[in-house]
Amino acid sequence: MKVIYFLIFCTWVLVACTINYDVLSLGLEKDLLIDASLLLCTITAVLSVISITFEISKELKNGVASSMLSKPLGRTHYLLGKLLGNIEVGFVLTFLVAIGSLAILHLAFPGNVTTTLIQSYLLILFSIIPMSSIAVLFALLLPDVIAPIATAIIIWLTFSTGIFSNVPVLYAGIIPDLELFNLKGAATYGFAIPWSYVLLALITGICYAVFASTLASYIFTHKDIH
Amino acid sequence: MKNTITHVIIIVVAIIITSILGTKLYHQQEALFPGKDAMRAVPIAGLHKFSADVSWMLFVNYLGSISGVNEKNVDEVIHRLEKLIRLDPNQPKYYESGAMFLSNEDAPKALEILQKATNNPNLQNNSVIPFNAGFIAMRNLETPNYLQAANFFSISLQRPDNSEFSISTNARSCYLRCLAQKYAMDKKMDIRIAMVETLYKEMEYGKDDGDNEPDQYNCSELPEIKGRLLKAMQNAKIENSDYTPTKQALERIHEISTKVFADCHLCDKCMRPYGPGQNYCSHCGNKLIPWGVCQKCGAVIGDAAYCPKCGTKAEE
Repeated sequence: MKVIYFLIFCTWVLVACTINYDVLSLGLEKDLLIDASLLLCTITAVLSVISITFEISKELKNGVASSMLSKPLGRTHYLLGKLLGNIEVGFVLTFLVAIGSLAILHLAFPGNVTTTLIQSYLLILFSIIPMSSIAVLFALLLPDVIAPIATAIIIWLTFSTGIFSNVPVLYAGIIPDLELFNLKGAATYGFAIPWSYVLLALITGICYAVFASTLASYIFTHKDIH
Repeated sequence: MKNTITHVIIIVVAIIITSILGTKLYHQQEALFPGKDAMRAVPIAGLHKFSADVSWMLFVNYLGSISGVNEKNVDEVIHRLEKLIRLDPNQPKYYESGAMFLSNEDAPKALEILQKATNNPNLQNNSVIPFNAGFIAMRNLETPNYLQAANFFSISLQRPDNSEFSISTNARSCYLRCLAQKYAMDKKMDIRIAMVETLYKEMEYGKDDGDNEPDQYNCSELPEIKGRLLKAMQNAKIENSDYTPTKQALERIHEISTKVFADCHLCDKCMRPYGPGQNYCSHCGNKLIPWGVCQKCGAVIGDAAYCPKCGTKAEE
């Protein structure tokens, strides 16, 4: 656990180092700082999500899951507990990276912490919800080696699903659109984002998580774990 | 069975709600940030902005490694710049600096890039980009396109001047110069006379009703437009080894001077203003029509209503 806090500290150092690129970026070091912090937040979110695929697969393999489920703990409760726990951990870690980055930005460039930037960080936090549900689903469907790789590939692909935007139900329904949570460009330029957009994105993420976790629950209910 | 039906209902309802909300958010996002859809075509997990930053630093590094943009490396520079713009089309520095690097070697391409930036709805408050485009159209093209340049300068002037070095003064001068060059080419006249005609026309612009193109910059409100016109008329009257004003040109200058500077006292020969009581121009020695002199005692009274020496009422 201490390693994780050390890694978070390292991300803060990385963010702070971008200030030194003022000459090489021809005066765009502030943009670089903001973009690097958003990138590292996203990576933290994705890594925390992928970690659950290892965890569930390991517990299923070692028999820890079956001994937990022999007690009066439903399979759906087990899955929901994993999902919510992972979301909470992802929130905490991403929040720590975000808050450190905001502090560095404020120290280096006072007055540049805009509402749009905070909204961008919030959207990254909210994107953990659908990503975690995908991870839980894949952890149940796929073997322990393939599940994290498949989760990473799907997360990458879901940022480019705009080509399906005219296909109802498939688009943003079965295939989530994580690009809806990606407004990193707006953060750098300070374009205004209405709070209604942020709230709708959160609701969309929760609805998708309900879909994916219900599907996972159905699969898990009929899966033989002994 | 009951469990399965519950699961299926929840799945179907969740998919439908997510799909509806997702589509709504997609359209809302497109309305807020036009052009984001094009960026989705580059599948780098939504990290376009950071990739653009890294690509920019690599581009700057590359430019530092070459002695200049020439015919051997211009294609590489264009390729890198276009990649940058694909990743982040809203960064003004890519256009302001990047396109200018190309302007000597491939001016039409630089102009094309700057045209797209000028039309970018997220860069509507940037006055430097259209200014740079106008400059390239005026100076760097093989055959200068003065009309296009004037349009760009006009766009630049209609946007707020937030540039590091205030460009509005330069933009105004360039805009008027382009209009004059275009007029000179169309009417086959000397640029000096064309400048007089252009400035006079721009002064009259604000006074016409319904005849003006709405997207042209209105110069008539400029406080210095009259001064520019006077200077242009002075230049147009100066004879030298490569220029002699024609009779028609001199008549036209006199006509404009009578209309615009009726309340000013200007030397007929060199168009320089002269003060009260002067009989000869201090610039060219031309005989002048004196003004501001008391008719009775000859004292210099300027604009005074009565002579302070003898009390005679001044002639109106």
